[in-house]
Amino acid sequence: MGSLNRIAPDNCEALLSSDSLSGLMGLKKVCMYWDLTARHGVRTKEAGVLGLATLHIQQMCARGVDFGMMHEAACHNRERNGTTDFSRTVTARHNHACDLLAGAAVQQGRSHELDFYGGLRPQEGATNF
Amino acid sequence: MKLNAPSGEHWVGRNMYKWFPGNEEADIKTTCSGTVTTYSKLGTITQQGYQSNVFHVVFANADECNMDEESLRRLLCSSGTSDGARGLINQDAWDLAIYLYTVTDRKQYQGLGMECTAAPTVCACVFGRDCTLNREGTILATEEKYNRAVAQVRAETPDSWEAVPHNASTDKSTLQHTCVCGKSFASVYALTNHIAEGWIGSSHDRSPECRPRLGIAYIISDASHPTPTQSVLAAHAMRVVSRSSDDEPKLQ
Repeated sequence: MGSLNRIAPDNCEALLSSDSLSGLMGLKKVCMYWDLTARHGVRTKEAGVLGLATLHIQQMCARGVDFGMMHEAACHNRERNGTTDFSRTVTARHNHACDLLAGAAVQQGRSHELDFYGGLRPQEGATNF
Repeated sequence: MKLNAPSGEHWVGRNMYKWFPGNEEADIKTTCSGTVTTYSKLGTITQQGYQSNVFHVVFANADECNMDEESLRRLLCSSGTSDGARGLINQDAWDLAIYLYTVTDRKQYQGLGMECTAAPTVCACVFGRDCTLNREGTILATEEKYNRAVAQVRAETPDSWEAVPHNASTDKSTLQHTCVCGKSFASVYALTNHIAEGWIGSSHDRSPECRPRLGIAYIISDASHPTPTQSVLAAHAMRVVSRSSDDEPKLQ
């Protein structure tokens, strides 16, 4: 979100496409509408990180950026579901590329494994409850 | 709630409503008022086994009875509530109130999901104080030791989980589920219970290797660019911290 905030010019239209419906709903519910009670906010996982995303979205909106979201079926799910309709669109191919990139990234970091263990320490972005 | 209310002669002449604590079917619709007329000191043995004063109560419907101090206290407290609340009071509610008063600021309070200074339900950092999460006293206190053990797992590519078998370091015949506090359990269920029993801020968690690895990636492209293959403005991928003990969405 920070990269998008830096790149997106004023008064443009930003469309966030993801295969994670739960991720999109988290953004919508927490970052765009914030229809959470204080109790739910405290108990929302990743609330700190979502708070940072909220800041970026608000900054983009202040610059006249129309922020929208759309769900794109994951490439591996398309094949699993037996249909490849719309699998050659630009967003679908980008989504597939993201799949592969994330898959490669997740294999890294074995020599400093505890850096990726979030237990028993506060979230990096959780200072602004 | 104040339990050490004045007793004895201070209660003589007090009005109250008829509600027999031992009667679970007591209903506000059948309640009638009464008055404490006399009392005698330490005249009866209560259900709890101690001597108590005996109070004689005369009700408006001409009923009268003797009751011990505890029973009278219940009636007086329930009589002091508003009409709506009085309808909710019965012996179970009273006993629950006594229990909650007794366990205040003890561990049972957290078990009931109640917030108090001795048993917080959320971390102190929520209220602006220092975070109570840390790895001191756990097997993860020395990061280098754990990292070194993981890094020594045999694999073709160093610093990568690629081609590392899932059971590289476990023997299924002696599989134990270990908490970071050092205790091992024979089942996930037992481990989960152990973690759930821990106080807020206590250091219990499943082992780091139980968590799924999480990676994210994004591509920023210019949809208005005439050539899709040249429309990519930025792309990035990274492995990120996995926080939940439950399976998180895997982006691979």
